[in-house]
Amino acid sequence: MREINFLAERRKALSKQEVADKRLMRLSLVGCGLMFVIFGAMFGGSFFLNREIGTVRAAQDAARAQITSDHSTEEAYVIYAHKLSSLSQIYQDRQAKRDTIAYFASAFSPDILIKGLDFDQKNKLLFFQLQSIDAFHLQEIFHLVNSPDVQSKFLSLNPSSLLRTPDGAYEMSLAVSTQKK
Amino acid sequence: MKINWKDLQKVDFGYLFFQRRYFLVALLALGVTGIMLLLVIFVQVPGLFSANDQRQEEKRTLLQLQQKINALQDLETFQSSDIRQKIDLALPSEKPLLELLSGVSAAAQGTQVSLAKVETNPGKISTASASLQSFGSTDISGLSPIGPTVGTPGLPSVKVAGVDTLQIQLTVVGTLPQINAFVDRVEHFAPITDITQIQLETLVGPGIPPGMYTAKLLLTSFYFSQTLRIGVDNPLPEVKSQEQLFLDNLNSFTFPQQTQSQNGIQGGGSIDLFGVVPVKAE
Repeated sequence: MREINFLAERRKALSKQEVADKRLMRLSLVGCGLMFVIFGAMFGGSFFLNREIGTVRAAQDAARAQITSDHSTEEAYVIYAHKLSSLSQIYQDRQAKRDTIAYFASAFSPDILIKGLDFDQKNKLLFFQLQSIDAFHLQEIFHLVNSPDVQSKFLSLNPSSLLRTPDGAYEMSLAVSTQKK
Repeated sequence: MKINWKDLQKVDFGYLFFQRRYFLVALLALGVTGIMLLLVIFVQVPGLFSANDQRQEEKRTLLQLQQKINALQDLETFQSSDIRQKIDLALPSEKPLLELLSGVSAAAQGTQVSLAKVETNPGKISTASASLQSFGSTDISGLSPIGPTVGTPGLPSVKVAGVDTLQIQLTVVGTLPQINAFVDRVEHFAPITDITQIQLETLVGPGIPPGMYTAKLLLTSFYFSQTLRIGVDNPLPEVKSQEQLFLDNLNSFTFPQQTQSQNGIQGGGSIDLFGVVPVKAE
């Protein structure tokens, strides 16, 4: 009696599918393995970095303890540095003021007297109180103050408050900024 | 799409699992791979970068701390150094009234100007931040050529360059070169003092030689009263080029003589300072 397998074609189809499934399984398992290795490596790297951070932090704590033990020196130096910074600033402002005074003292003729000076330390403004013996010297002041050469040297230069004294002299104020242009 | 659960019950899952078992394992592996990939991309890689950044930051902090330790070791002799003492004298930590008056007196003697009037407010203890008073100019007509008188005008305290100021008003009498020399000396002694106002008046009168002037000066001296905070992690401040320039000029300043502080008590019965032989009453 001959046997007829009605499922032969079906078996063949299944075997083909099985082979394809097996290939897919192998590939996905290899991918999964690789991914696992990468995952592990990342985890290891993260662990290593965290451990190193811990070591560095411990070294920092030791360094901080050493710095704290030298607290008095640090305190003295910080005060010194702040004082030096303030002194340097005061000295620079003063130098700018002195340069401005020296400039105008040499620029005006001897008949123009710098009668008064007032330095506004906050706004770095120097107020000159000038006195000229007559109107001609007063003109000299205006000529000098308005000259482009002098104007270009200072940030601001403003003459004001002109008055004539009973003895015929003229007095005026001149506000000069000592800040660098 | 609506799932018909009754139809699903008709599916032979056992058969399906058996026939496509490799496929299901592959699906499972792919799922696990996908989850791991997501974890790597969204959790591990950012975490790794973050940890690396943190490590770099911590190393930088450690390096700064080590540099600070080295700098502090270099500063071991700093506390007793001459330069520190000079800076303390140039910008003291308390109101330098006595030092200022002593410096002014020495400058007046050195330049032969006569101090006619000194006005100050030494009793005022508040700093500039507390209040500001309006400065009223005082009349110099009441100057005394014999000796200085001390008044108490409402001189303001102003903060300049972050430090408090102490102002005194002086009236000096002398010739123009003498007054110039006085101004120059005042601006070169410690505590650092600026002349912020000058008012010149010709002095005329019987018995007064020609060329004499009275100069009303406003002296602003500075003192340091800031509260400073020190952070262990903060680096030590560096000396900038402008500050170095000031240090180079520091030797041109006149510093007050250091007074030796009292560190013991003489007398009190232990030593006979006068050498008088005690007389015993009989």
